[in-house]
Amino acid sequence: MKKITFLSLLLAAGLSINAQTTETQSVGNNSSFVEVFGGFSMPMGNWSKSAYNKDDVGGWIPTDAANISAGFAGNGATFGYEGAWFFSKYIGFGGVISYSSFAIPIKFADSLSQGYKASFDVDRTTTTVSGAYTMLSVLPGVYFRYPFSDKFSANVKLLCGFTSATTPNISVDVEDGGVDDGSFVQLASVANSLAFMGGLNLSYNLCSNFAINLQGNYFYSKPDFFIANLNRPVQVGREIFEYNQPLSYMNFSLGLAYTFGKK
Amino acid sequence: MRMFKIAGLASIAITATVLGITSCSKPETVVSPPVPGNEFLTTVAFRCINTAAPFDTTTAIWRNLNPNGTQAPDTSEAILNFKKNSNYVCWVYIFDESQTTKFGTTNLGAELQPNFNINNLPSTTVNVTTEIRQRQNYHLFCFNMTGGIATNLSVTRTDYDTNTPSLQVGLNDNVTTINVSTGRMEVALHHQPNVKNGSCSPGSDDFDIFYGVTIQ
Repeated sequence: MKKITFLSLLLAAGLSINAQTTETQSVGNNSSFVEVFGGFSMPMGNWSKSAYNKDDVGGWIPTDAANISAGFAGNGATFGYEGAWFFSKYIGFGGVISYSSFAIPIKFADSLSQGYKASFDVDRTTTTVSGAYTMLSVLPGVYFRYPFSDKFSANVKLLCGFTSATTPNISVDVEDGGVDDGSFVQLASVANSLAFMGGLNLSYNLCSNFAINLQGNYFYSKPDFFIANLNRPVQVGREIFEYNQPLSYMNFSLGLAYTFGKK
Repeated sequence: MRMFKIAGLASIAITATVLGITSCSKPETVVSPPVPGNEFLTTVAFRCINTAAPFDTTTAIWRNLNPNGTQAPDTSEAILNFKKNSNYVCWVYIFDESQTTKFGTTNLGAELQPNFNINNLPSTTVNVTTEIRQRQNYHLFCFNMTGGIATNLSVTRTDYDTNTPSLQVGLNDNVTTINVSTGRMEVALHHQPNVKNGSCSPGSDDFDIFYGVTIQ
């Protein structure tokens, strides 16, 4: 159901931008565009750290700053729509609708699993991560364009909007002395936040109406997640109830843009 | 118009790719397997003091210096002597004497004696009690009486862990005696990661030992 909603939103956004650009064309501006893009994203800051610092008997230290800020996020991907209408040669308005996903990589999941194993002093732990950190963002803002030639141009954008983010679901099964001591779960959580994006793209016109854009974007948001934990009667091992760290990333993507107006 | 159709088709294609990648993501599972243990519990002592007569003390020591299980544990000092109709405050101590004495032999003379001083242990004796205290949130001591003491001796745990809500641990206990009798007291340390609920059933055993008990 969520995917259908997401698809509808993307298509609606695309159609909306398409409709808007019809007016643009009549103005005769040749810099406006709509674009679909996708690429590689690298999480930054504490969110991408994997600290599991323990005391001398293996207990997770809840007062350790690195412990409570670590997010265990790995590299991910960002896809989306972008469009801008240039009301002058150099300046325009536009926006981005993007979807980003950052899974917890195996090496970080293993770090978590080993940490829980030490904290509970048990023979075996099995850690299962379902889902990923995701962000669905709507970011309007201002665009600046500088054409180097008929074919090449550069765009700089500054966007401010909204993101709806989720955390992954982490389940840990504990086994000791041949006895399965059950599983506990850090449930997935959803939080909304203001979001900011700044970026630079280099555009190359393939033909009269199509261009490819190479983008580098920086994204910042700080959603405040309240996290529920299931089946945690024993207060041992990593257990967080709130996660309020910047979710920021660098994104490098390639886009296919439809440009308007006569060349 | 044709260009709009192309752009629309491209949009749908990329959206389908996104959804495809998302729907193909499976849960990632990591297993952290067992590793060889690096600590021993060789010795369990149970020391009690009569609350009405502090000179009335009794200490029992259960010892197994042979981790391979090829020799029976040394229970020569695993005997508790209580007075009838009395209350005792008691402590469980757990030691690793694997470096103090030589495995596979007994009674080398260097191991702890019933009059040991917990504050003055041999440097080679590891007081594992402190580790159990640090790991109290998933440990529980359970006591079970058999023989004549089954109805004449009771043990009540008096210390609590830091779970929410707090649960008993059992490193500190009260013992209450009634009539003259004899029997055996079973002491089991249950390891209850993620399952501690105040009862003895869940989890596995770190040790399960017996002391002989006489109430005079």
